[in-house]
Amino acid sequence: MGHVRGLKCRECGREYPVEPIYVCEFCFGPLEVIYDYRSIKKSLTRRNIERREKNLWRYKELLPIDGEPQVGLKSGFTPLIKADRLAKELGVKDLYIKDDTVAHPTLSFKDRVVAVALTKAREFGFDTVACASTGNLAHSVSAHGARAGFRRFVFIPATLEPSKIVASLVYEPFVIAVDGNYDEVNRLCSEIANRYRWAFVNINIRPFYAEGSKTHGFEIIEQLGWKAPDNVVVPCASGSLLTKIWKSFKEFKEIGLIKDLDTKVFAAQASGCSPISTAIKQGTDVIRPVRPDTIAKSLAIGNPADGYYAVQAVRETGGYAEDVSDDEIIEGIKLLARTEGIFAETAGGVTLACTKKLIESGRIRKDETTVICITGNGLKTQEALNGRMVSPYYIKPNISSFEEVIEKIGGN
Amino acid sequence: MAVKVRIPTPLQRLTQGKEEVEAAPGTVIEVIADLDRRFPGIGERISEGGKIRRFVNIYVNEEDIRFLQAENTPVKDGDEVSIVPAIAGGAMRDGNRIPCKFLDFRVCHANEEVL
Repeated sequence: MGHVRGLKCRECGREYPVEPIYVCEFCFGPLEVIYDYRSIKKSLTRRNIERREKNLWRYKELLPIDGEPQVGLKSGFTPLIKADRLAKELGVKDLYIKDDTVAHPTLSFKDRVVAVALTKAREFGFDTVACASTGNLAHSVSAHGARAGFRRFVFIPATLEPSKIVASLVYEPFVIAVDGNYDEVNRLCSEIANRYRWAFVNINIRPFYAEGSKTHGFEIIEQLGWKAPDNVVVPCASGSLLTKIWKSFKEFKEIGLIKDLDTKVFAAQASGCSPISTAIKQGTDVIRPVRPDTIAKSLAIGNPADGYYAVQAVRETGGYAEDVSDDEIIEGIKLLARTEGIFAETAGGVTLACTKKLIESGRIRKDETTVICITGNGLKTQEALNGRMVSPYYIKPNISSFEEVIEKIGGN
Repeated sequence: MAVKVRIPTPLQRLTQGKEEVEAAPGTVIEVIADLDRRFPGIGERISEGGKIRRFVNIYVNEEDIRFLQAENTPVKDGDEVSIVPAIAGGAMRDGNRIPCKFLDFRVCHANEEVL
């Protein structure tokens, strides 16, 4: 049933068979999955999709697996929420939140990519899955991997806060705490991936893993009633998600599920780590690496692997980029929570605050339809809000103490 | 004296297994051309149409040439040029490992932890 033709180097175009590899041997470019869209077009129709279960595998023909889905059968198909209260606040007409804060099972969009990666890992015959991560990815590999019955190795910097480790440890993977920073952990994992026959989801399984991000984009189009939005705002760390969302829109057009595609893609970053938005604003292709300094830790990649492709996608679509300060990020988180009842992680604060700026500058027009991609749950990064919240009212257990508060807040 | 060029593992097949070779001074792209004369085939692995390939990083005396004068960065006698594919650690299909001495700011395919 598979529609995958093989792997292809994004740079020099050399083709490779479907194997757990990720780098072109000739020019060192990244490998990407290629599909036979003509055969997909024949079998994947709106009606077929609509009849399927509400999970990310309803688009399985456009995902890089050969057999049936095996992992994450309840992942994906998160709500697309019409955010009227937020729209009013920002002065626009049609605003939507694509809400991956409620992704199953670990409350971030990583549940999508890991579902695809682990299904592929099983097809390749791996019994052990692994990743280097400080957060969402580790949680998802630990949880999905537990249910799928894989042996799991999660590599983290030893200095990571205990609170962040708990959300992985509870699934009882082997957590390897490395005496080094995240870059060093990552590099060690590349060496380990070379020596052990393990599926490192973000290393040797990466071309397949990254394809899972497309489902976020497929769902946006389906949930808008088979229409692409005028604008989509995407948070960027490596730039992979933005690149894949744009790919997902183009694929739906390619196979005829939508007729028109005139979406502008916008990149959102934190000012403390904004190599992609800087390149876009300066009109250059060269990504200048930075040392990250931001509370949005899940976006803190100073030298983004897919930065070049993200810049191309933004430029190709006539989009733009914005970046925001830590204070604006906090305000973004609070604004989304206060208006729409959604508690996003810091990356969500970035995306929201950038959208606000893009609207204010006129880059996003007020009469257009805009989708904001919210990718992770705020319960995971609560410490970012310490000291930045409204306070409880402390009272004695009697009615007069309560009524003093009522008087103070004028809420009679 | 000449320019010292450090060759990454996957390209050492083209340099008879040598990790470090010599080339004549000039601009970076001229050094690559000279390398290709000495070790035919190595040029197209590193550059295309006079430009360094996007996923190959070149360092002159440990400075990334993208932040110097790119392909036109001058290289003098005694300078050290490093060619480093932009992959962390370097898990290749043939099992070769790429030494990655400049760790901090490498573009890493592996560095896909987030978004």
